[in-house]
Amino acid sequence: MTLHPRRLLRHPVAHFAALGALLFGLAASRPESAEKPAVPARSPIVVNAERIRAMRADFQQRWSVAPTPAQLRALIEQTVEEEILYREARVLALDYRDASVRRRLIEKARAVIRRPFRGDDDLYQEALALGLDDDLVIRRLLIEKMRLVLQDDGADGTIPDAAVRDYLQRHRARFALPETVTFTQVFVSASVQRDRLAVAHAVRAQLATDSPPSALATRLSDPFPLGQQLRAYTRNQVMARFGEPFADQLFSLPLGAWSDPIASPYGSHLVWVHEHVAERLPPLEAVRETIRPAVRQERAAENLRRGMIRVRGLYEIRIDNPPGVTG
Amino acid sequence: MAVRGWMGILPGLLLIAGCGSDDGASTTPTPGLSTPTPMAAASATAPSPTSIGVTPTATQPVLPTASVPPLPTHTATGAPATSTPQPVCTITPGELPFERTECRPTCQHFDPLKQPFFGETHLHTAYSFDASTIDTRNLPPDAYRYAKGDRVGLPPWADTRSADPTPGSVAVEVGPFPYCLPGEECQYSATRTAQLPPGRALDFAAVTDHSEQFGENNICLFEGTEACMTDADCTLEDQVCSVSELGQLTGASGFCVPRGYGSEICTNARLGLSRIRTSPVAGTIAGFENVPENPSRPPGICGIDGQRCRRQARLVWNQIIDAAEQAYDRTDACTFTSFIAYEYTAMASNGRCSVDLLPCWDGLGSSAPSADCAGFDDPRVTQKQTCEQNFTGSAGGDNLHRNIIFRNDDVIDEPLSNVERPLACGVGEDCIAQGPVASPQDMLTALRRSCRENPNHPRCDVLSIPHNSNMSRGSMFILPDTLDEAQIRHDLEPLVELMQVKGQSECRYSPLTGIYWSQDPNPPDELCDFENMSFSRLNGQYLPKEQQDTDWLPPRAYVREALKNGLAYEAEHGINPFQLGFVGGLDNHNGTPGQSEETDYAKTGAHGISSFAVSAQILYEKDFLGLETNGGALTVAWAEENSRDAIFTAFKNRETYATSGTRPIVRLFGGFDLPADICAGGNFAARGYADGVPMGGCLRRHPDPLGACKAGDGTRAPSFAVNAMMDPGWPGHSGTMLQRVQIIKGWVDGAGTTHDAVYEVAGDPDNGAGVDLKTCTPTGNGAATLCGVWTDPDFDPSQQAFYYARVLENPSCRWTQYYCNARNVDCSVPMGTCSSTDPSINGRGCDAAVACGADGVCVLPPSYTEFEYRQCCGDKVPHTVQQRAWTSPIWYHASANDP
Repeated sequence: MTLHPRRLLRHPVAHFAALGALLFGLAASRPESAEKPAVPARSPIVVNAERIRAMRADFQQRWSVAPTPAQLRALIEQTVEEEILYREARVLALDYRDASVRRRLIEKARAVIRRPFRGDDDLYQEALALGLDDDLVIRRLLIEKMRLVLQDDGADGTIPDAAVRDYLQRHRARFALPETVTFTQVFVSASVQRDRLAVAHAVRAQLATDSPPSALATRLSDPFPLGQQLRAYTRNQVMARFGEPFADQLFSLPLGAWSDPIASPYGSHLVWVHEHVAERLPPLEAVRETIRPAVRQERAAENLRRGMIRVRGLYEIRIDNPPGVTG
Repeated sequence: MAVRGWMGILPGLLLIAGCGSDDGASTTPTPGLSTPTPMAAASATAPSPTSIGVTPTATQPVLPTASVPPLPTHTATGAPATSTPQPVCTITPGELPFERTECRPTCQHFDPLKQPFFGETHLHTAYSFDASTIDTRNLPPDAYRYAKGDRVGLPPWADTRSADPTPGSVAVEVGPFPYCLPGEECQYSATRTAQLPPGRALDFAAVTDHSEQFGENNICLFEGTEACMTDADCTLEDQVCSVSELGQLTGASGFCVPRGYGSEICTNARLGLSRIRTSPVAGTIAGFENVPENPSRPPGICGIDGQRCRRQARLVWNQIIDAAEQAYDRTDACTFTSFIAYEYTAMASNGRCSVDLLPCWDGLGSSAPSADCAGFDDPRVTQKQTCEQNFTGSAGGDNLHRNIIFRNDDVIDEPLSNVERPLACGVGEDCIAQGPVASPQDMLTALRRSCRENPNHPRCDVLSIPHNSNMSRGSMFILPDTLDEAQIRHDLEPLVELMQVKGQSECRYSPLTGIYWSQDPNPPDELCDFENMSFSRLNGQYLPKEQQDTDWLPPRAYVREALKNGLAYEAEHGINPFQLGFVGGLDNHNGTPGQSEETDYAKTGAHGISSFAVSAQILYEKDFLGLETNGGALTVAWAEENSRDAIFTAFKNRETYATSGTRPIVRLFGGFDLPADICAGGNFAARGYADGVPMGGCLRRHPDPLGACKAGDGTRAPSFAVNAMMDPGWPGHSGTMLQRVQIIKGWVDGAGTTHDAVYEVAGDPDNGAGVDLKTCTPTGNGAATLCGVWTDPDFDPSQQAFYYARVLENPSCRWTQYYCNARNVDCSVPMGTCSSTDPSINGRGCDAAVACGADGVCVLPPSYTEFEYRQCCGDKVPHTVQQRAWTSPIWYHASANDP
């Protein structure tokens, strides 16, 4: 799902994101100095051998096979990334006054503290006091929230046409409109004319002066269910209706002249090409609304990637070298 | 599409492995598979409505008029002809020959004389419970990709991991059923794939999943993607945490699933799937939900009031809408049209009144008189009819199924399935949907109210396409009791599906007597011996011989009879309830729309894992004469352009024809003033439209106040002109030439008796064409194109009539022959070779072990089994088939009343 910009602005997450970006911006704009006590202390992230063993065991249990080195590396990488995101979310206090976190804590407190008639505020405070916020769901909530913070670059979310055009160019294959030909044909039916090739050449001679195609072309043609004038046919359509050899010849014909007889499974065709439109990109209006969310998604992914590199640099990461895993 | 389900946990890794990656689709938001933010998750249950996507502007486009627009002048290659005009949403009536109800540009290929568009109107994906329980994993997005020419996977799936999917962190509301193609790595890897032949991509498609079990299917077969330890971990509405038994012992996490997942029925559905890869549970649930009398949803899955399943059904419905929106080409290239649709699956299992064999519910199976049967209230009738349980014929179920197809993206909020709107079950006490048994009036009225007449959906338009009437035991086309019903059927049901994988419904044929089998004393029509779903053998039940020739299978189960009965009804009441044009569909349960080629069908079948192609029941009679009769049919719509409005208008105007799966192109015009030389010259269609009406149209004895029909002078007979061209095939596979064109006329005489007759119009029925069974190449003569004009020699201006064209190809290999050839069965040589210690016997050809002496055995080649050889070389399996096309009829109205 892609959030509409206006909806996004109203969304509570956006407020946090904005707040986060602000805090982050402040933090980032500050000169990097290890002496500054205001920078929160970040302890190293350690993935020790024991942790890796557990990951292996988990994987083994789930899939009945041991992880390959590449899979294990991916698991470790994911673990590290999520830990960074979670810790950064804590640093930014993204759980502060978060409705979902609060609901979760109240639910948990209710289950743990079996005293009736407690107000939600009390339960919430008590849950915090009991450390119930060290929790799978809250962790997941905060990781997701931190990702949103990193994805947001503080821009207002509007996508200018230049960006849409750029995306369109980069994804040409996906959006390109196919090459088409518009042509008039005079059909010489193999089923009607015994010597259709001779007839076709005779018809061709008669057509010599018929430029552009007129009623004469209509009179000379045998009936064809698709008609005499075929508009904006793609190569695929021509192949599907007339066969591949016909399509090959049709698309190499010059404009504005009667062709020699072209064979199809039905007989011979004399063809006058009116228009040959090359493969082209659709006008911006036709694809703008399809592309905008994709650009937004692309930007978010790029922001996230850069953001991850940035926050990663704040941590010392120690990964024990498990057997079979290098680097 | 891009990344689905469990793969979320190892994104980098698995994308490198290429699993499920899909070029070009990777940036498309995948419906339901996005990651809602946790905080937004609770409110994310309703996907945002699909927008039209083009902003209205004041610029007026250059719109084609009804006359032939001038062709463009020479344009340099490479440059677009003109800059595409800004699409507008306000289109003045009269500018286009059809009403534009959506915002889109006119197509580049717009042709006022219309062009044929090939499409699918009947197809199931894994959103149908009976498809997902035969292990189909294709969803509507996959179906559309297939329709556009891409490759998709089919079961069986190589389950490369343990059964327990790795919970990820992507919350989804609707099961994603991910798989990957061979060579890629993921949990479920396809072992078979399917792709349309080159150039055979469809122009349009409607995906029609069974609406009754949208919710149940999602609940029971949901594949969790979000990890959890307890229910509270699951953030989406109606989802709970399901931890496997192993997980409970080891403390491993489970995954979030819809509430009801753990119910007994759902558990059985999944057990069935994991053990034998098929599950009978879909049928069990259908027994609750697809019946007319008090259909209900199983409370274990759906909650006491069934609302949970309805909520889930709405989520699935939204996915169906999103998939159709994503697939629709809104540019002026108009390469593909999708329709939002579903199947209404009433499966009545009615009883039959003891004398007139009309369906009944009241007193079913008892010896008491049935209130549903004629004469119950009539004191003059002393011998009251009872309602008898009679499960012969078509396996006990009366298929009263309909495909509901919407015009555009303004659709109803949730499908009206049989549970919400059952067919009428009569007048008995237990009956909640009262009215004539099997009447669709209530459902159609509700559909009209919630769509065409709904102010909240001002652009909504819909039609209902009955199908498989050959399996309805005559219940599909019972004459209406009221004019209201006749009118609403006339309005909302302009089409009927004439053929699909479960056989043709054109005309009844008796395997016992070998004749066309009408209610009237008609001449035989041997061509009705064509892809008949054997009512006598469905589900392995054999209809006793004496019943094969009786009215146990009423003639009205077939469309030609329904058309005639509609004429008779119109002659009496002024409205035709069965004015039905023709479409063809697949009813395939593989999620592969338009997969009708015999060559493809021989490889895949139509029913997932239970297809002949993968089951041990290869070529078993039950399969080849039962559910899997043939590769299915196609719909062709004659329209100005490939857009929803243009094709839907063709549907409403019945300007459609059905093919038995191949792609001949057929035009039909009828009129009183068609030029006799219409087949000379290249302007067949222009003259046809000018002086006649196309297929699906109407002629009148007297001038028409509404101008919809062409009128004659009251005496002259109408003429009909047919122009047909053969299917050209595809590279490496030539099409089959045409044999002949026929006109089939049905009429009602002054006494109210109906008749039909078949006339030869063009071509040669005795052209001697055949097919070389070993290579499946055609032999003999045929016609690449046919054109003929026929004037009704027996025309009586006072008699209501219809005329439709049937175009026959020369014989070609049936799918069974392709199947046998693929296994190298050669019927000209013995089945195997003797292996014996006796050198005089050893190596000799043999058809049975007995031919190989006392100690010898008959050794078969590894490519086939004895059963396959015997079926392929016996006389039960047809070797060839005569593919064909049927045009929608043209009706002649003799009465002064409006049609």
